[in-house]
Amino acid sequence: MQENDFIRTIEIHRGIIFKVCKMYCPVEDDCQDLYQDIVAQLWKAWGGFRGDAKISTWIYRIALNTAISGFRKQKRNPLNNSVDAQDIELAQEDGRKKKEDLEMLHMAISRLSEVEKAMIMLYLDDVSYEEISSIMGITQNNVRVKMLRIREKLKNTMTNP
Amino acid sequence: MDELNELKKMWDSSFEEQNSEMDKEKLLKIMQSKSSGPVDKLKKSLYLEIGTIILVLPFLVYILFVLPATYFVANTLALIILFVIVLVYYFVNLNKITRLWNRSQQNLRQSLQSTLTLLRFFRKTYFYINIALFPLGIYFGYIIGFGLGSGGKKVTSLLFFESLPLYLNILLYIGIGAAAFGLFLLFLRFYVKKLYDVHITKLETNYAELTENENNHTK
Repeated sequence: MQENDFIRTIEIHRGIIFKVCKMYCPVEDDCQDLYQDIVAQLWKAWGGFRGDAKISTWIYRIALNTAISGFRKQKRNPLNNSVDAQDIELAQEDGRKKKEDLEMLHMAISRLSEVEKAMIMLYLDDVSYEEISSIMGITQNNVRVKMLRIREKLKNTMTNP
Repeated sequence: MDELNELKKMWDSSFEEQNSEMDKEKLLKIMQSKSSGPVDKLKKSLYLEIGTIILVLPFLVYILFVLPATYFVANTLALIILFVIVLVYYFVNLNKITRLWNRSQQNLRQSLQSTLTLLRFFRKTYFYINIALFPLGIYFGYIIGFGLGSGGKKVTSLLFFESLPLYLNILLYIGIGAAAFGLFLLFLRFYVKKLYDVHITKLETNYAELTENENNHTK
């Protein structure tokens, strides 16, 4: 019963886990390892989920904790592998401009620090500042300050790659 | 923030096609597998240490029966007591780690903080326990090793070079011990750096970045 509930929840929110994996491990093998780690950690913590936060907030929290606090060795430098084959396939369908924009976005994000990656991912996923503050454990004012800084960094990287 | 809002649309579209359904069987397998988080790794390392001590203890008890001479019994007993103390210490820490698991509701800042505290503690403990065990290991190894081979003779009769006077033998022994300790220290530093320091530095950088400006803001 508990297992079924867990699997259903993971299926509904699989996008969160997938994005965290992609964000922190652009290499497929690393991505698989991190995915397994996150699901294993979520399952371990499942019994302790009290429901006092949104389930998505809880998943973000554990997924990011696992990605940022974990002992993982990256097989290759993420800076050089920010765009994968699927991005390119997608871009071929939708046109060259979109491909370039996507490449640029992923390249710019891959240059951010681990903490900044977490923040921009939450922001781009439409998570409120209040929730970002709760997931990251910092004040909402600090979230705003950091977001401004990240915006500047992204802007600079995307205009001067 | 207009530029960032524009990016939101791009962001979602870049994951749409890759976000395929998950295989239930695979998920069940993952749920049954062991994770490789930092706390799990520390636990594994502690289990290994505990296992080694448990394997060595019966051997030490056996020595007590093989070497009935009081001199060796006292030393072996001291070694057994030391091992039991280390064993208890490891069990206490294992318990601490297990309790940390129950705090999986932590936010990123708390998670970084507790992982850092745990890693720093283990790094320090691992380093100093090994430094302390090295001379003790040499001493007890000498006593037990020579004792087993000499049928209970006094240590002073078991010299490296019988033609040299006692003080030179002792100096030689100290010199060899010091050189071995130096090499061991170099190896230990390298090992601890590889095992803990790289990760600690990464976590410290992340924590410092996350909490930067925090003191200027109130929640």
